[in-house]
Amino acid sequence: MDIVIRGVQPAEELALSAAGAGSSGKDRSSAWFDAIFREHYARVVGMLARLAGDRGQAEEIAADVFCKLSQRPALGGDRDRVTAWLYRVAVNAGFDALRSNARRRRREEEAGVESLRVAAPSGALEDMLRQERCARVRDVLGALKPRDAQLLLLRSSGLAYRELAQSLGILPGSVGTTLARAEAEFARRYRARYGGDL
Amino acid sequence: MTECWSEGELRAYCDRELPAKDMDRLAAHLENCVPCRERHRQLARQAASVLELVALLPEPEEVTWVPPVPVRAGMRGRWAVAALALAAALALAFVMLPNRIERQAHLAPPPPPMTAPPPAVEQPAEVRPAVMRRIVPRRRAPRLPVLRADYYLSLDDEPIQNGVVMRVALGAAEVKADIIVGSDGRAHAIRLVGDK
Ligand SMILES: [Zn+2]
Repeated sequence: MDIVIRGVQPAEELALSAAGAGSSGKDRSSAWFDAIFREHYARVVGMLARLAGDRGQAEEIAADVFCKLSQRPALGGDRDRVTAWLYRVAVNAGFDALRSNARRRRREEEAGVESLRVAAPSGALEDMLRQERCARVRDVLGALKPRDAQLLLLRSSGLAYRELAQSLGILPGSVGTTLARAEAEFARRYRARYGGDL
Repeated sequence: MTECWSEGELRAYCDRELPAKDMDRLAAHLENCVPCRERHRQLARQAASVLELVALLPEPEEVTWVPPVPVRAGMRGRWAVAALALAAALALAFVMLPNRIERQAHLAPPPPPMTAPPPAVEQPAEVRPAVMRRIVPRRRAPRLPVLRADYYLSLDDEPIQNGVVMRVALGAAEVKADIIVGSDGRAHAIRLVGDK
């Protein structure tokens, strides 16, 4: 399944309703949720997929987080607060997934890494190396504060400082400082674990 | 010489994220201040290294959000009842369908439109759930709509403005399905999902 949400495909038995039907009070009250969903869903899934290394898992987590959000209309009044809440909850859930994935990976490695190496065709070597490098990056991200990992991931996805600030619930003027510290911490931990210059 | 700049400002300068006038002022300052120039060089190098590593993590292919077509079924039903009945029926139906259908679900793209009649399958009576007929109420002799991978079946008559897809496992056979939960917390549509 490479597309999360597709247009709902009407069966021939189902007649299309007139466009714009159903503009009730309920719609108005959920308008804030619609807006947040449209703006952030793909971004949250992207961040979680890169963090946890599993697209399907990322979608599940994102769906769960948005579902929780939809049940908290009290948050809706303040757009910035909602956004910061959304990313905080999502990245924390992503960290849980990352940790359990890492545990599973270690178990699998202990159980079968030798047979895997023997069995791997030569073309797969590059793929294994790439996965190993990704695993290292995830290890180090997982050792950071979740908000630092969030910042590094979203920055590398190309978000502007204004958007980064919103996702962290900080002022745009603080992003440079926070980012510099997060990068220093990442570099320090990466060097400590894996050596190299970085 | 003008006053030195903070680490955060130097870092934002690397990303060209300072206000335009500060960009110019900081650039002029770097011409004359060795410590700031050195600090800026370190920050830029560190940022590039970290970015290069984090960028190794693959971005998922585009996550699309397609505004759904509003769907109208004839009758309003309570979604929870409908979903539960559907779940039970689906679990049964999926288990009992022949391999051909199962493979279709596994190798989803691109499925035929839902208008294709269900293949001739001997289905026990309990596979024809009442809820299916409620969703297709206008048809006198209802043909059972077939749930297939990638096609959602509406559970009520509300146009879906947006929603969150929840992956669920139905019944003891753990048949996977996606349910679209709307912003009101209710399920509005369901589809079967092939195993990955
Ligand atoms: Zn200076």
